[in-house]
Amino acid sequence: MPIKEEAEENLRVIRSLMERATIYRAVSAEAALVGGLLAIAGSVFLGFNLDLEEPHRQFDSPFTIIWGVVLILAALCNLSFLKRAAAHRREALFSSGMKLALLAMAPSLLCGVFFTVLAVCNQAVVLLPPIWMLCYAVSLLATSHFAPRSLIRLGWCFLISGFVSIMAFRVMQLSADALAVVLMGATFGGFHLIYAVCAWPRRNPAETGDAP
Amino acid sequence: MFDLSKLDKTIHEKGRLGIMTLLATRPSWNFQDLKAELKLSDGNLVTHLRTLHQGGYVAITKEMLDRPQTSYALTKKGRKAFQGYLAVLEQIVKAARP
Repeated sequence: MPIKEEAEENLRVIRSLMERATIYRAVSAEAALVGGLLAIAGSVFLGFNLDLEEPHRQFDSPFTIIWGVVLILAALCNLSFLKRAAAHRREALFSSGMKLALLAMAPSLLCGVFFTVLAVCNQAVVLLPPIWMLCYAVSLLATSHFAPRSLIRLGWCFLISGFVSIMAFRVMQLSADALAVVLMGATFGGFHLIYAVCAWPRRNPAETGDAP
Repeated sequence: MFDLSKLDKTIHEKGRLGIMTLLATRPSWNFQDLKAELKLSDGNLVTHLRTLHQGGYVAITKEMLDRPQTSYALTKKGRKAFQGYLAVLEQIVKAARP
């Protein structure tokens, strides 16, 4: 092979290996499994404990508290699994990948916090599921330059679901409260479970094309 | 015509180039992860790592965690050699541009 072609080929190999090795998974598969199960449990709990057909029920406080608890537990689980994965790679938890992911995700997550406060103050909590879906989707997609494919697909699923669910509030026959509970279980529960199955660590991560 | 002797022969081999590239991305790698990422056989990987270690490019650490584990890291000399190798490749590509 002529020296120029060989040099170009070697540079390509170096680039592709470096890109693969610096992929950062901001949501671990294990945390997605726990988070998905927690989200489904949260939806089931709300569904059974609130009479969603009763017009004068308390909805905003239980909804906010339950999803606040689910978010905190899921975030703690994710942090713990990321810490374990970082230790396996002999990196600090706040590695360059983690810092990059946090910086990329922060703006859309802050938007989510802002809209949550706004909705709670204006007693419009029922609108939060599509807002959370869209903010979460944008935060995941913001990491697409260094995220594995499965995480990018998860981001797109949330983005599309966020748009569709806004339409669903107009079209569906369910009450808005019931729809909010169903949407949370189906998306934050269902999507995370599917993601966990797809991204579950294999024996040989290089074979999945979705490593590490 | 480019002087080929400028290319570091220890690094200028597909398997060893892959190892050096991966080691440049993290503080250290264990054997199984390197093997999985590079799709090399145990024997090939051991031989290349030994060559790089003998050249002073790779440091080896053996630890007893839940089971014996060997990890590999670039030495200062290795990092410098890898950067130098990259610079030579870039020069070759630049020099060949019309």
